[in-house]
Amino acid sequence: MVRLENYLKEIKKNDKSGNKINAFLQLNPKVLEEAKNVGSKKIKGKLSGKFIGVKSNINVLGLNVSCASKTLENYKAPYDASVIDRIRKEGGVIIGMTNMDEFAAGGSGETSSFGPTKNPRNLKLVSGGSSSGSAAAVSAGFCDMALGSDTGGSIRNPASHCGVVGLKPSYSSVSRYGLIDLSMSLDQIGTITKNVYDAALLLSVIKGKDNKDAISQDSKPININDIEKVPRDITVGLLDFGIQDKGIQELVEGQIKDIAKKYSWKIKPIKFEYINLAIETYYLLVYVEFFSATRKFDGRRYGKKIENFAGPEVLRRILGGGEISRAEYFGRYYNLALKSKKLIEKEFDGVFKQVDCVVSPTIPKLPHKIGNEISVEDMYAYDALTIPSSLAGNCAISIPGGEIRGIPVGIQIIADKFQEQKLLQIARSIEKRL
Amino acid sequence: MADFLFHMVSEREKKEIKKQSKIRMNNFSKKLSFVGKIIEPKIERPESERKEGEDCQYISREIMFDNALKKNKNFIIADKKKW
Repeated sequence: MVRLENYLKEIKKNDKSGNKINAFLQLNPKVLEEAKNVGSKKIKGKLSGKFIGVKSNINVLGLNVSCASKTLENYKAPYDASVIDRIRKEGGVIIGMTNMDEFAAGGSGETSSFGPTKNPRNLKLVSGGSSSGSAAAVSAGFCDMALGSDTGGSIRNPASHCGVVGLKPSYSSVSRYGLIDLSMSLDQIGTITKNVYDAALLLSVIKGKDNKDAISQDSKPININDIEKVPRDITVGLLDFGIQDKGIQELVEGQIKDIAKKYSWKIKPIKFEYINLAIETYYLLVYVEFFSATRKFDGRRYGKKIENFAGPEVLRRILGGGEISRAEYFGRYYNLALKSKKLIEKEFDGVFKQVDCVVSPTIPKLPHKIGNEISVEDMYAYDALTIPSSLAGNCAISIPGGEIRGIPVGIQIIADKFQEQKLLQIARSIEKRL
Repeated sequence: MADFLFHMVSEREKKEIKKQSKIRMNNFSKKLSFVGKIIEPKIERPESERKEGEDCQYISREIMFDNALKKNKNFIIADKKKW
């Protein structure tokens, strides 16, 4: 209870006043009661005593699941998402609903209709997105851990900018029942935590098959006790992808080469032939699937009509998605993107026959100042290194890898599908040496 | 160039967003155009493909076939407005 009171005190001090981080959209009004209940019942779950922030696109019974949009401003979740069920059963307590890019459409945390989330590590900069509030809340010390959703980098991107750990599990390894979708063929719920151990802990609770999500499936359970073990005979693939900010590239490569030497891991440069198609492939898929997903927000069933209340980035995707859906007859957009997605997935499958993981910077550039003018193409390019593994369905994690001018830089580690145990052990081994 | 902060969008701005989005998607599509020539779409899921085995509810299959108006050995033939 003392820890909860400290969290609530810190939120009161710096979320809407003080530093005005704007990480939370709503605090759970029953959080003290729920924490007392867990304490009095002496639930000894894996998450007992943990206070968890939840992205505002995941249903938590009775709380406002607004997707940070005026469209769903007053919409209260009528049920718990499957991941929330699992968290509660293990003694975790939901502290509140976090800010995000509107309907998860954004990569900077600026598109929320309730104001941008500030980066706790540098208040003038964007926090990254779309799980902006979840990453900022963990980074600012407002909660122990948080849930986010990652479609093309929405967990790893803000985790990198805010200096915390963001894990995107393999596609279909965590139930999405109760997640308001952006792009169902790519969306995945994942974790944002202070360290790799906590990521493993939270993932071990939320992962697994759920009959309410037809695509979800079981995979090897996470063995928490083995997370500290340094894996032997590892070959690290170092992504050969020229990024503009050479400082970021040098920092990440330098760190990984040093650490690999200490553990006697092998390093192998890896070049992908089709990785430069990832952004185009991703946005063609997302525009069409997002257009389809938002047809239910017609003003009759949930809140207001989305076209009348959404901001520019959401409209860009809906209006663009509508246009290309109508023109899809010749298979020039969505169908082509599906083929390209398959090509990228096959390339990853081939690479994971040669290496145990692929390492790169999480984000190719440092975060910009909140409100800076930037082209759409430049904004989309933030996710150039996170999108490929999303298209391939692999698991990936961003861990803090150092700083440039005081701004955190994330290291991204990608492993083959359903190899979360190996991914987490490699990530923990690297984290220990940084 | 624009900032990405939320604001309410006018009808005029919506028209411009729609136009620019279409142009952007056409450019994206052009960049991928060669992909169609090197990969054919096909479903590849040998591990998750459902097989009719002992777990299969044959009774459901029989009932479905009993209910069908037109059928042959392995297929139900659906006639418009008769099913």
